[in-house]
Amino acid sequence: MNNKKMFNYLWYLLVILVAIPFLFPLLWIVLASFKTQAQIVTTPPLWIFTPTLENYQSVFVDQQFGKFLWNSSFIAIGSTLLSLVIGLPAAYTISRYKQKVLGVFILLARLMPGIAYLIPWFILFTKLGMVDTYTALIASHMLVGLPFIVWVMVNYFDGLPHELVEAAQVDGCTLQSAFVRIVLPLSGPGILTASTLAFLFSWNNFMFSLVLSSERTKTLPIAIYNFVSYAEVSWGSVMAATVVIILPAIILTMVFQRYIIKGLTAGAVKG
Amino acid sequence: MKKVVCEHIVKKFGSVIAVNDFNLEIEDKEFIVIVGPSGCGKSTSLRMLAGLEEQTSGEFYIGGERVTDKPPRDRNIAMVFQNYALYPHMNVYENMAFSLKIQGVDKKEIDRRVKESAEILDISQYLNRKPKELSGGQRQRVALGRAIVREPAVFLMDEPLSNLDAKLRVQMRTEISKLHRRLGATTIYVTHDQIEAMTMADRIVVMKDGIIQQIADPQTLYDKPVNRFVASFMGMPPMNFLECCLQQQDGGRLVLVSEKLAIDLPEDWISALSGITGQQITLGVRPENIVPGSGDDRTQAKVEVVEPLGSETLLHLRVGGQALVVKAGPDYKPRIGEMIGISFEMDKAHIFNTETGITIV
Repeated sequence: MNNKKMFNYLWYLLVILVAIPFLFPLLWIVLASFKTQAQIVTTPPLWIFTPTLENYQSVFVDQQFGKFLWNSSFIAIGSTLLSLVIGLPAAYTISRYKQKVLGVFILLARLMPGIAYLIPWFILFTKLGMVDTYTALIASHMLVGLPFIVWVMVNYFDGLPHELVEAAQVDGCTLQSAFVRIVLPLSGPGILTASTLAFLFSWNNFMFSLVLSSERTKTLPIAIYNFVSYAEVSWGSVMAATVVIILPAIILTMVFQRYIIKGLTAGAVKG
Repeated sequence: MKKVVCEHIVKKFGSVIAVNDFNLEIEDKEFIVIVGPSGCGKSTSLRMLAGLEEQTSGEFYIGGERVTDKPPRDRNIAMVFQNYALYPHMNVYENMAFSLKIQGVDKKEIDRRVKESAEILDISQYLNRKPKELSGGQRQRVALGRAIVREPAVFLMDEPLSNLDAKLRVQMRTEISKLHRRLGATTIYVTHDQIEAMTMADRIVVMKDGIIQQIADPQTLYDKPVNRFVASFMGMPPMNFLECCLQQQDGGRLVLVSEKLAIDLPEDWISALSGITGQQITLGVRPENIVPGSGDDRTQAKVEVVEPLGSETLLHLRVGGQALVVKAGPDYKPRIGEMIGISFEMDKAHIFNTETGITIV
């Protein structure tokens, strides 16, 4: 076996060894979601067993996870879309007019720990009668989504040749229409990256949803606690609910990983 | 096509004056080339005319209409950029049709104009390709096509050939000239290449440090430069400059003197130079106006380098401590180190003020 093949085998072995600690918990969660409570707590762990769908039935039928799935989807998509509508023009302006100070100011919102906003927001939204509303949750999730989109897209726009916009302006566009017709179509990978990551943040968010939501707007990360009581923890249902929560994230990342990597590294090399 | 007027255009970046009192009138159908070294303000001037850069002061007129405050889309101009600026996500057809689509032109008319322009530029076979599938020369033709379809009042070209290799540049130069004659388009062309300027322009605007040095047709610029900068910028190899002392000798004859150099000046120069005898001046002579292997022994040059070019020979000589380049015939090949006599065709020479660089004669 030549050196190159040996190197490749060793490299893949190393990758597998590194991947195992990360992937094993996921495997455990998926397997546990198809086990009964007794099978889950059995020692040593059961690797061969008869799968059951009772956990998923408990999640979707008994606990009506469909409603929480809708809440999470609506809030994540809403906060992402609004962040894009505001963040993309903001990022382009910062890039075009080299407004570095403004860019840093927006990023500062991202650097502050989210927990610092919780009490002020709770007081504010309570006074406005907006606790347990989609508006409050979308606004709170935009706190991270919007600066993140601006941060990623400023770097992406920096890499786009400005002559393209100038050519569009000479061809008859206003700056705004040049942004829509030329800049945005060329920024696909960057937009995909930024919006995927902003969506995932909102989807997985626990803290803001814990404080600002209640029965009407409860999201998936909060709803998992429905299976935790003083008497017991329904591990099977918890695992099934966890699978429901992490599945969109895994699918999105796997589908868009090529664009995410491209979007995060765009602007690093002038092309 | 229309007349273009630039009146007292000034552009400042902070305390730096990039363009200083730029005044230019361009007649309908004229091909103007603005030439100068990097950083002289030529591209900035063009961009201000296009409306892509805001001037600090001054006025622009196109076809008699004041366009100073108008955005680029309302100035009836088309621009060709140095790096083509083709829209990567559109194919060639869509790139060329883009401006017409924005203007709301009828689809059939768009199709007619795009195909007609593609035919002129010989790019019909590339209409369905994306810019990344084209070579540099093809992209530049598409950029030209995108400008042509608009049928604008003025074409603006900002160093459109700079990114091409030397051979392609020569070819495209000819094509742009042919295109200009065919379309009869008023064109303002910016370049740092004086050969492009000389071969393409009806008139040339020479700029330096934001200031127009001279505006004239190519031959006038070549034969009658107003200062040393213009004289040195135009011509390849560039003009030779020799620092000499102007002396008046018996009988009122004027002689230029330096180490191993003595040149009798024409009598009709006496009136222009009599007031500065005894001063240091600069003699400017082009390589083709120096005759090697001639003259008397008062002017002797040492041969340092001989460059045979096939059709001619370039001689790098040293007269005293000063270097100069001479064009000789293809068969004249002196030995390195040889001392040769040289004479100057003084009717083609120039005298410059050594301090200011302004042409005296």
